[in-house]
Amino acid sequence: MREQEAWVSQLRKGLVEIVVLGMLASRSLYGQQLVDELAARPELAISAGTVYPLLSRLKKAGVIESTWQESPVGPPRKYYRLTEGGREELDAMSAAWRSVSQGVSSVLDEVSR
Amino acid sequence: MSVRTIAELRPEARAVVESYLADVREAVRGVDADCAEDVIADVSSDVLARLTRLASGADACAAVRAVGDPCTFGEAPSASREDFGAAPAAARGSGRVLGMPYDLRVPTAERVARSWWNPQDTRVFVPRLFGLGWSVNFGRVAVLARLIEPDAQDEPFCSTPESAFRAALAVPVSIVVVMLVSFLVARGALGTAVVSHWDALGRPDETMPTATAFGWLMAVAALSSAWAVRAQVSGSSPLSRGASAGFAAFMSALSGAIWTLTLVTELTPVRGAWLPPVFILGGLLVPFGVMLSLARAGRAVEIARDTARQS
Repeated sequence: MREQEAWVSQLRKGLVEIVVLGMLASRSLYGQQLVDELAARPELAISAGTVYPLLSRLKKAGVIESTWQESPVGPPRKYYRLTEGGREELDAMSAAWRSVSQGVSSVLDEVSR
Repeated sequence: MSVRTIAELRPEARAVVESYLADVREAVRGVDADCAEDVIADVSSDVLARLTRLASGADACAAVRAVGDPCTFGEAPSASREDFGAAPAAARGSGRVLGMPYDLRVPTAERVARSWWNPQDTRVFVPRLFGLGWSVNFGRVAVLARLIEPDAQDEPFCSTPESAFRAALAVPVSIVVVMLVSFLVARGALGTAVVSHWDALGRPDETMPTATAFGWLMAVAALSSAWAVRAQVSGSSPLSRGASAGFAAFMSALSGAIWTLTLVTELTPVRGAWLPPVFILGGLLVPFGVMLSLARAGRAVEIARDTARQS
């Protein structure tokens, strides 16, 4: 059971980046908004302690960019969005994910037959 | 053109990069093998991407500095590891004994910052910078108090303006001056020995020669302030400058608090178990205020820059 949990953890760990990039693909989000939206997907188990360092790393890598914007309610917020390079990175990751996922599904389908 | 392998570098640049990667390898020794190899591969490609084929030793130094303190590669992903159920990593010289964390590595400015001002870390109590036990992550306290956002700055103090660093430095330096003046003024009223220790109920239980007691406290405050001044004038990174200012504020405030407690005990009838904790907690508020001010000043600069672009 413990090994299975560790395996699921490793799986999630490998997917954090594509999840965050995917969420930033269609619109800009500020940090807390991203954390809240991820919290609404408990199956991904990604917390604020993971999101913020990841955002810093992705920004340093030039995959996302940030900008402060005034908020009609409350203090200004730092919004994140994908850069052009980030979009290409996400496309490549998505293609790789679909291919891997398809391969795994076909193996599992054969097992369940 | 970027370099693809270390072998393409000039010998002096290659030596710098190899030494840096050895330090990173040392820092991530405690991480599980796969993760450690991933970290080293990431760091290698990051360093190489920052270099050109004709890189000199100085270029290599700049590149590895930009990538970061090797120690952080053994520490930074702690939150991620907790999320994903892995055991916390430990670099050589640090670990746990009887469930308590210890760290015997020489503190660096970068590690001061990552330990005391790390708003992105969700832990309030983090392993102590040096020795056994925990210390407070003031950055997390500021986030919980809604005084700053976890991502207000990508790297602590990276956008903080010069004026804020100078103001922060004025805090420990002022404490040193006030301590010195108070000693000169009160010297006549103090005896040859003063209280140097209090029991759990706040009652004085040890004394020390006045000059020795003051000398120790002054040395701690003055040396930490001198370290912070040196970091400011030697063009250290914003992270180092903010950390050294926070560290100097902490050491000088603690020394100032103990000296004030000594004066209160020696020169006034005020007594009570509440006295030492009040002074110590008061001392902790000073570094918190200094680091918060530096972070908020940097945040204000970023907001002003971005909103000006938009308007």
